[in-house]
Amino acid sequence: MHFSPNIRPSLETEDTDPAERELARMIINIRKRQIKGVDLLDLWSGGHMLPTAYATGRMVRFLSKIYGSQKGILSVDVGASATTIAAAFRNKSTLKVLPQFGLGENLVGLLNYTTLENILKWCSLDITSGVLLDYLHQKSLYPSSIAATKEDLAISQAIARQTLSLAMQSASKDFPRNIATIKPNLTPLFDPILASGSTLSSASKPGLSLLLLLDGLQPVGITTVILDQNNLLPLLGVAASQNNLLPVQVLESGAFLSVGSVVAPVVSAKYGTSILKAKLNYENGAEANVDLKFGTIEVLPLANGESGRLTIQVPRGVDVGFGVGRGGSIPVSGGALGVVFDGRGRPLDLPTDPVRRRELIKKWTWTLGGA
Amino acid sequence: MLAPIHHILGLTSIVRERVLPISGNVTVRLQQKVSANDIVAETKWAREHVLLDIARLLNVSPHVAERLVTCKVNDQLQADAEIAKGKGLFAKSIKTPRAGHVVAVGGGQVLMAVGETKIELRAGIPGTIIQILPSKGVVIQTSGGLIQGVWGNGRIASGSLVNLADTPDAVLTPTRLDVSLRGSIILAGMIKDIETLEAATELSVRGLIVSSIYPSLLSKAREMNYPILVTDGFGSLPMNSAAYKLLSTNAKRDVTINAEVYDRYTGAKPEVIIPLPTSTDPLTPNETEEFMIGSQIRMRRPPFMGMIGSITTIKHGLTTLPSGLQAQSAEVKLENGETVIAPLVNLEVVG
Repeated sequence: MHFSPNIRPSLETEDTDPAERELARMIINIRKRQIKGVDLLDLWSGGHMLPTAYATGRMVRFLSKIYGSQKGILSVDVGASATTIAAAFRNKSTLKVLPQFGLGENLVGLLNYTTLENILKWCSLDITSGVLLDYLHQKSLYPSSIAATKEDLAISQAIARQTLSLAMQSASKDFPRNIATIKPNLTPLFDPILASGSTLSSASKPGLSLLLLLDGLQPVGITTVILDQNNLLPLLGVAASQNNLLPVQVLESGAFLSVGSVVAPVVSAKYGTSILKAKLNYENGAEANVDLKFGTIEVLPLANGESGRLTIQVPRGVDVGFGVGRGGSIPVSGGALGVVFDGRGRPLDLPTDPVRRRELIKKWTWTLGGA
Repeated sequence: MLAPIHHILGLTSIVRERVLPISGNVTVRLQQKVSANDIVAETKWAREHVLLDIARLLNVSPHVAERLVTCKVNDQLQADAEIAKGKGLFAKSIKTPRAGHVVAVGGGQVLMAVGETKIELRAGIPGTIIQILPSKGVVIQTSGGLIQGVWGNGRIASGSLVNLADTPDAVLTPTRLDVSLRGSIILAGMIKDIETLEAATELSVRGLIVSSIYPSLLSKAREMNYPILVTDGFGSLPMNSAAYKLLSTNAKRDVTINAEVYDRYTGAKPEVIIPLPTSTDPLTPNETEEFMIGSQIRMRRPPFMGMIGSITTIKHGLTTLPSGLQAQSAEVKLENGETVIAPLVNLEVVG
């Protein structure tokens, strides 16, 4: 029996922090019994060992206070044991650990929440449901193994997309009300989005990781996508309690990979219709333009460390976060890909014809340099 | 880099710790000989808990309720036993909803553990008890051949091994099963249909050792009353040559299948044990290994999944794989003479 202070000391107040701390400590104590060496590590760390998800949640809350933006901050970790989604909206935060959506030992259990067909719809290659079923079982035996063939990679990426999508649907039920959104049934406005996990960080090219995130999370409006390739975020969450300057210094050191800025208008239109015009003014005076058509992805290069000013114009019925039919001008920072325009609409509606769908997925992958 | 190990050994000392999930009674003694199905420890475990809020039920403050509670921690109570009674002429009585024992009392609340079930811990391997872990379990030792698998249906049995797999990629069908196999453990290839599992049940076989099984048959395989051990994986995979060679050359010997479910925390895997008489105890297998030139390995993922080979070179830095991913890799010479490059995380040392 463990006791923590009342999580609802009054009708108006909810304070789950002490209970969460107690639960975090209980998890470490359970792991000490299950895994040899954890007790030694806990000793070496002076008893400051924390569960990864708890530490990530703490760091996301910290970043939310630093950024102080109207939009939320989102962290997604698609790992072998669980998918973890941490979101912070100024003073409110949510943390959802979803072991049913882990890409390792529990992978077969994914079929309790989705179908083989729903996973295969994300696949760029023609894979049969039998091959996918064998893959799910075989991968669950060896969670740490990686895709060595193109076919295996296509399957693993399709599974990750569906997993991320389901995890986001589940986590969004706990998001607080009155947060910044474009439409209530879509992903809320987040900036930045931090992503980690073996599938994302081991992807050969940043474009592959970005497309996986765009498909799985379906972010809206204008956001920045950052890859935590070395899984530093939870480590910083633990370190923050001992040294609150360290996380800031690491964040500014370039240890995280900025993939770029993403512009994802909310619109539903016919394939090929112009839905957004944008002009990017570089610091050196040069400029680049894009005319985004519905159903396509476009990229304007803006290198890591550079910044520019993005001016957006949208026709009636299109909302990019400035209001329906309204454009605007904002500063943007560069990344591995630059500024990415996702004109596929929200919610993303994939063609039902499998051949056409696979062609489009290949085309989007190629556009983002992931082919 | 530390390597995962998959044991396939012709003769080794096998030492297994068998421990209850919670405290209980050890039912065997030191140096006692046990068979795989013998019970070595037992305990009782309540799967459910019931919280009775006495204060709320009697409509009094927690402080008052504490004085009205009549049970204490560790009390064993029957269903409908009175655990608190209010005051007054028509005092309300609080009774237990189910039989169980009291886990905690405090704050005007009573927590009960209910629905107790008995847990029996079986030896899992035939051998000698070499250590008693008081209230927890035992350590058992035996000598013989050891073949680990990748999946098991949780059952244990011993019997004479009969080889029905003419080749490592053979498929077991109901037509191969006849009454002469009753009470045997069958070395088979792949299982692709439910009829084969049912035919084996009707025949009262003692167990099945298969190379692979279709994923759609797993739920049925879990229901079977005999152990099923899968050596290589799911789908249509032939048996790896090391396991096939060792098992097929030990046909007609008594073997034990402990088809326990893989536990990533304890490292317990399903395994086949071939007890062999020895004058001295052979060496115990290594529990940790590093990838080295000459290491015998098994491929765990496509391409070449399940194939055995040996490492010829460990490549420096990261190697780009056909998938485009980059990983620390090794050159592996397969048994068919072909040399391939594979990421180290997709390999396991066989030994």
